[in-house]
Amino acid sequence: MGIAEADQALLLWFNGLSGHFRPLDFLMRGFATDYLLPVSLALSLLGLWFMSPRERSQKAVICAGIALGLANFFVKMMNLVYFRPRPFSELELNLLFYRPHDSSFPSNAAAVGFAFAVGVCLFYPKASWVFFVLASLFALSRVYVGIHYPFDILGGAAIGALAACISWLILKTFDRYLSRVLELARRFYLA
Amino acid sequence: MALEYVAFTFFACVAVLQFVAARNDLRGLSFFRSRRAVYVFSGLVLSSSFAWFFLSEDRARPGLEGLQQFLLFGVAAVMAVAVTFLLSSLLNGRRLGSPHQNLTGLDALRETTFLRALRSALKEGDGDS
Repeated sequence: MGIAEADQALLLWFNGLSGHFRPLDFLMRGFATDYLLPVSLALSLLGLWFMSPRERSQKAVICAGIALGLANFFVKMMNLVYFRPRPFSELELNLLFYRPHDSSFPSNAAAVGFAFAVGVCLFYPKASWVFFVLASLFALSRVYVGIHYPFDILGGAAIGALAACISWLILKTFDRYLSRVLELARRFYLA
Repeated sequence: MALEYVAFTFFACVAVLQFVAARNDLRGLSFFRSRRAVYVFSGLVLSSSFAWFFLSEDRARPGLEGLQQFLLFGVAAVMAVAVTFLLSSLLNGRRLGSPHQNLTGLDALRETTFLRALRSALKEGDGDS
């Protein structure tokens, strides 16, 4: 069985779990929306800014923020050179969501979620479990509702992680300036 | 839709700010004297804002683009921080004193309000010059 066939088989198995238990379908549909988990991730980042140890949490927030921008950029670049049709346009499955028309690979949702999670983890691993849970729910729900293949979310997660690592490198390189910016923010009681 | 999103994220941000104020003992940022009251307020506002936004309409359909969401969330978060800092300063102004010398940044808000801390910092700056 090739990768494409395995990808399809896994999608059909996972999507096949839908349609049997209404509360689970309702929950997964909610998790898959463009708002619930992205807002939850952003709120978690806002809260992290105010948590102790301050400098570490604030650098984690900045790292995740830069990673978000980079991840979106990488996904947009990939979309210019490669288009993968959405699963609902090729397979008979139980679609629980609206029909997006952009490329299925890579998953922007997974890229964003894991950019946040890995970005936070690189500076503050203890705090990152919340972000990994939210990112995983976001990514998996998109497969459950039938708008992504499993490989799309793996690709998206890898892009998010890469973006976070690049963000971490940028912050380490400019650490001196970053510390000065945080010091200035501290003078105004914002950090 | 944009207005609903801003309202939702604004109240959710205020709730999160109150939660972290209680968790980190930032008394100058809390709206209430009692920590328990802050947690209850935070929980109620957060759950209400989510419930209102997601139950008022089916959100599993095309809406705001990613960049729009990013910008609108940014606006809502800045407004929430400003409102929280100002309101907590007004509510706690009489109860809390001036900041302790060796507490800097957000840590100073354990003992004082944002406006009082800012005023002290500006006075010190004038004193130096």
